[in-house]
Amino acid sequence: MAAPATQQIKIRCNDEKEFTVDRDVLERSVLIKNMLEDVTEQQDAPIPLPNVSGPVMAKVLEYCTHHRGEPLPSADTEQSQDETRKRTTDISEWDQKFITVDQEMLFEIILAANYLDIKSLLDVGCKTVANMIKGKTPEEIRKLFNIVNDFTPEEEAQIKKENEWAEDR
Amino acid sequence: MSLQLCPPEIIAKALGYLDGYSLAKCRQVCRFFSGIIKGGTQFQYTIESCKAGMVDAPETFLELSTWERLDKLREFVAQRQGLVTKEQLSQDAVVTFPESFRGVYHSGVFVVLYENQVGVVHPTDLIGNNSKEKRAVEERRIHIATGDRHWNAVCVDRDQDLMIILDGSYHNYEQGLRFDLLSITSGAVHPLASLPFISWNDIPERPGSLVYQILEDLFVVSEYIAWKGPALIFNWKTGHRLIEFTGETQAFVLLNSKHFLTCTWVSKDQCELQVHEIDTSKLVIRLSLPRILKKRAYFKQDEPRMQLCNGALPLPSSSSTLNRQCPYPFYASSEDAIIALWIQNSTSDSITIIRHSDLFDIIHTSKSSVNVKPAPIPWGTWPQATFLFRGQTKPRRMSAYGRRLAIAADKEVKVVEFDNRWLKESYATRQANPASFTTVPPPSCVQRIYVGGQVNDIILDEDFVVVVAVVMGDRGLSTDKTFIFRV
Repeated sequence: MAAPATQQIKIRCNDEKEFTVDRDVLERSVLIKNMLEDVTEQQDAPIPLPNVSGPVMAKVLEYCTHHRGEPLPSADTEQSQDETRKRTTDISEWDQKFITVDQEMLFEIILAANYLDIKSLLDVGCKTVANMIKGKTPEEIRKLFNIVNDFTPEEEAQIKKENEWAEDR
Repeated sequence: MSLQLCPPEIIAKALGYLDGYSLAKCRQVCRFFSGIIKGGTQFQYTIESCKAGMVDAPETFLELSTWERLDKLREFVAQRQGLVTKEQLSQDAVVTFPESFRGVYHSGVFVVLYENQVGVVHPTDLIGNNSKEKRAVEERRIHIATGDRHWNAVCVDRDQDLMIILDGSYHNYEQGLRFDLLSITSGAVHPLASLPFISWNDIPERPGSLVYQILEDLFVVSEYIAWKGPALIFNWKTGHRLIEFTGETQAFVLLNSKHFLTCTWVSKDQCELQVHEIDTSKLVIRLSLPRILKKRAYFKQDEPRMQLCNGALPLPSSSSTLNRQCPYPFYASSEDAIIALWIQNSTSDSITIIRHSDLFDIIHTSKSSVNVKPAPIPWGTWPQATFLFRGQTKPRRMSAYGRRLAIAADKEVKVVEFDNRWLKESYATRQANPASFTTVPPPSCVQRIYVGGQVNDIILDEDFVVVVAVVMGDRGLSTDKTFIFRV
């Protein structure tokens, strides 16, 4: 289904970087979609997005462009998916390639997806984090994400004992 | 930008994709993670159900809210405490008893026969104190049958929750008792327990050392030491003896409620396998009280059965012999139908596997008319797979359960599994070259267990293999020990 004469929308990121994007691409973001619906008359001023930087937005737009035209998850499906979620962390091939970025960019994308309300992108990001954690020991997880162990030795001994059953998995 | 700067709800979303094991690791990472996991009912549920060994929640759980589900799970786990999960047993690779007994595992308990008593042992008692002081079986057993009698044989049918025990020593069986296993495991002894249902007194030629089998409503006892005792088929519900099969038969195996298989010597180096059909139309079951059992007529071997197919089992060469004295030249499992034949050669031993269902396929194909006596099906065309048993010593004992066969030799036990592909390929190899005796690679070995002593008895079960072996003790004395290994 071809979109009727595509409307171009301007957005401005927090680093003053501006993008001009087809409306249906931008509407992958529920935040922007709602904004555009509230504004009836044609505006030339770019939409300010104070929480997203230019490089991150470029990545997000790459994702949105690839997935344009796909149905947006409705509130209903979101609910039921959460209920019966089968902890599958499968990611499609394109998304997998797309999300193969450094850790900093990964979290920036996740935060942007959260802010812009792009559910499918947030899912891909969170699944990627989950896949990074899977099968690792606590120490390996700390090292991976540069986390400081802030338990006291007593607490650590206690918590280690509680989780002994999961040790060799 | 780092993970710790992410809002907790995003971390929680990512953690939501993890299984219980990964979550248990995550909560050891730092306070931030630990706090998120502690605060999420869903995480608690995932972790606790994983710890409880539940892969999928019961269906009734799915309609509940996460809170209710967690409560139910905790209730369920509390109820289950004291019972031992398979996982726990597997952690103790071996359970050792200082004495020998015969036993079977069923519905969460081991049924054991020990000296003059029969009892059940909860696996809880078998683990935990394994490495330390071992209490005798006697101390941790719930008695179900005691007295002066020597309980010598136990036979269990899992589908029907039925156990039959037989008393007496060799050549001196007196009575059999039947139990409802569920009532034993739940602690209440079934009223049937006190009533003997088989009396040997009226059987002129009593069987010696026995092999026993329950199949549907039939119960079979047959001899395996002297090779010429009768095989008797009873209806275990009524205690009626239906068929007495006499003759020098090495083995007698019920294949289903209408068919049985025999293995008989026909010459010094040949034995014959026969499948017989019980012609139920000729059986008259007279409902009589036990005391007049003596007067009840029973059928002689030729009357109620019909030979369906037979096959002479040839030996590989004239120099080899099938050892007539070996304790188990033949083993069959009725459960999921593996017949295993152990053929001894002067240089090597081979084991032949026949599957019931495949055997019935050829029988039904050859049986064109009910009233016409079918032509014998040559041994060569029987669907069979023969493989060489490689070992320094000869196999001593075999036991089958489902598609698995446990073979004891060389102070060790090997459990092998016959998968469909192996059977199919083996059948094809055998049919392409019936003359060659062993041509197929051995089936895949599921487990090898070093026992460290001569194995005298072996029982393969669904989850366990029970091994009775003579091992050297600390002071150089050999003692009988019973081991239970998880398979």
